[in-house]
Amino acid sequence: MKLTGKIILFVLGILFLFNLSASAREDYGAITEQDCEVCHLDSYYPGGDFFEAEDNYKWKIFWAMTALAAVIFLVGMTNNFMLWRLGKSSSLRGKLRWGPVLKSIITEVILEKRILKTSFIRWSVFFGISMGFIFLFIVFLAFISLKLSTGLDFIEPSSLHLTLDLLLDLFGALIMIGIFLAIIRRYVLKSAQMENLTQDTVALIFIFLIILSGFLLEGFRCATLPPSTALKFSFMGCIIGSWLKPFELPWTVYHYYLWIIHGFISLAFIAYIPFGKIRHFIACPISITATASDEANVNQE
Amino acid sequence: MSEQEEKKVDKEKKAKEPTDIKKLIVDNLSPRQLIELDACSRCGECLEWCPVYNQDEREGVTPRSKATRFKKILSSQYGLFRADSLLGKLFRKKKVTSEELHQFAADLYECSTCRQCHFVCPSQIDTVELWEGIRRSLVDAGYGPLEQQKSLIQSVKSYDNPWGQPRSSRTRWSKMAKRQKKIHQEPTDITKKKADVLYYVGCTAAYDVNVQAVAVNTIKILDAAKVNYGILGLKEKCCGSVLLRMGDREYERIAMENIKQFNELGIKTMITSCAGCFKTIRNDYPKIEKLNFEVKHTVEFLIDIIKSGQLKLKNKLNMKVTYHDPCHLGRHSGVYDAPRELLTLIPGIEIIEMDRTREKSRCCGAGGGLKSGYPDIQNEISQTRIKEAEATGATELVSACPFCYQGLQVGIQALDSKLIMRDITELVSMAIEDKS
Repeated sequence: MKLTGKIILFVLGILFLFNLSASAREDYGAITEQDCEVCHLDSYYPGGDFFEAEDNYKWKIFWAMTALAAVIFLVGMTNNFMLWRLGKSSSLRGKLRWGPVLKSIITEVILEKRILKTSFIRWSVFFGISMGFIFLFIVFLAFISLKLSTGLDFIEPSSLHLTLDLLLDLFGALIMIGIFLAIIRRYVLKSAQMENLTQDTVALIFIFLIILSGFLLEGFRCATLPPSTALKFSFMGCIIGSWLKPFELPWTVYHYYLWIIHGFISLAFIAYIPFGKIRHFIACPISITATASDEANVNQE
Repeated sequence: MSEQEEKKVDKEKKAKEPTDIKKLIVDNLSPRQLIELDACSRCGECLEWCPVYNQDEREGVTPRSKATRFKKILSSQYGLFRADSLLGKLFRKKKVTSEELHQFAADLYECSTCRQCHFVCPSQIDTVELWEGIRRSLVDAGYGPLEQQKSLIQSVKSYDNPWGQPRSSRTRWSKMAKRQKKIHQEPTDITKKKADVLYYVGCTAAYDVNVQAVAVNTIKILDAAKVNYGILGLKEKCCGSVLLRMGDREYERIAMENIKQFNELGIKTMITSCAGCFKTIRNDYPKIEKLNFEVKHTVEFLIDIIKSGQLKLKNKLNMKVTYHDPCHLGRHSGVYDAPRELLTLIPGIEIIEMDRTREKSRCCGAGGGLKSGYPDIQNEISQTRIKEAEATGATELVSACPFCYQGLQVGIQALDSKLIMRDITELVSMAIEDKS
């Protein structure tokens, strides 16, 4: 087996073992609403009360940060659109061919066949990070639109919440594997074709911190709550929670502050998209699908 | 000059410099091409395959560097964050210097437009179209082409060929061939006598003494097959490929004149032996004006007439050959199978493929103005390809483009290789030759 395959198997194996050991320690129980309330009555929150801290601080900070990030993102994208619109000649050769475009979305944008043909480790990096992000984004959109359209709550303990937990951890883990391999390839193996610019490192740090803080949030929650089947859905958080549990610290308070930090990093990342390397997340699919359409038109000619 | 005076001059120079910078006009590019600048994730896959980077390992010549730097230049001249805007000043956006622009132009022209990078790019950026579009912007602003390429362009504009030869010499090859009894008669002037097929000879086969055999052999084959064809003779003009590749807007004028002339001939098919002319006429001309005839490379046409029984390959050649895919025929036009099929139709030919073939074929380095702009690098690229060909154990190196013929000969001579360079038409001609 190739080195890359071994690395991936090793990482997956470690995750599996940690998860097993985490779940073997304590008996399962059900999470009750009381569990939540006990933790959230801690007095370390701003204003001395969890609910006041939630209403008067956390969400206000969050929406202010969101507004700022949205403005920066829009300014950046406006700048990009201004540059893209400088081009006046036709972007496509003939009409848009939907068949080849859809095929290229599956084979090249999602599965990234061309990269897979050249290098499995590179494919794992691209697939892990890009697909992890795309799926996370889709999950997020799906749950938010469900909440807004049907009022379904996915924050309170429910099967919906468990599904969300599972999907977030799954795609988060996919991204983490991608980042892990990217770091090995870029900074350890130092592949000859790599050139490390600040924007490459910034992008990796951003993604790493978003996912790490996300897993830590899960971990803090798992470290506080009694073990239960429900927690197993957050399989990454469950591992981290099992490490943290022996330390009797106010994890729910840490959770409160880390949530704000996690939100800040995530929003900063969104604001950064138009300015750095992450732009290619938007531009690549456009290039690939346009090429597919052009090639189909040329072949028909 | 004292140190203080030097500093003063430098300061004045720096203060003056940005005002000399011309804004690049990019309206000839498409929004998609400008988006493609952002599609480059700078993964470096292109480095592994670029024939130029293989010889000149400077980051500046890599496709990823070209895309990144051009984006930087555009951002400094346009958009909300341009260097002279409020936001640009706030974020200390630097104005692009004349030196940077000249260096960018020099690097952009250090490319054979082989299109290998497009085929390995995970984002599938149409690199060559992009480079050619950017070259056009650079030419408009006075930063391109390179000094050593200007004579080639001027020659096309003045003499309708890139080789600095008078128009009246365009048919010398056929006169000489007739005198040397290589052909029975000079080909018919299609403007005087209508024909179904136009053989577009191309400037290299018409003017380069070392490559004229391509035109002579093609005529011999067409005559043997009794094809109803003609040539434009003295009225043939350069296809304008040189201008298009180097970014000169006069390409449109030449293309329009040629299209008008071709469309008025009432032909069914145009054939050409030059991969560069083929790509330009078949792929690029229709973007300007519709063609009312079919364009085929000679190899495609020859397969048709062999299969229809019009041409018989009777002589066994007993040769071990390796085939070099011309970039403009292969990667640019997708014609990979036809030349190989033609070779297999010739009795006694054994084809041994090189390690890099078809869409991964290594370029000979002659295209895109690289040979005129950077002859040393072209030489090195050609030598690398010749070594690959030698490694197959073949005795003959076959291609289907006079320009590749020229380019590969450079490597053969530099290495003093025993390989014999042949155009595919030469082998077909040998196979039909009447030995009696």
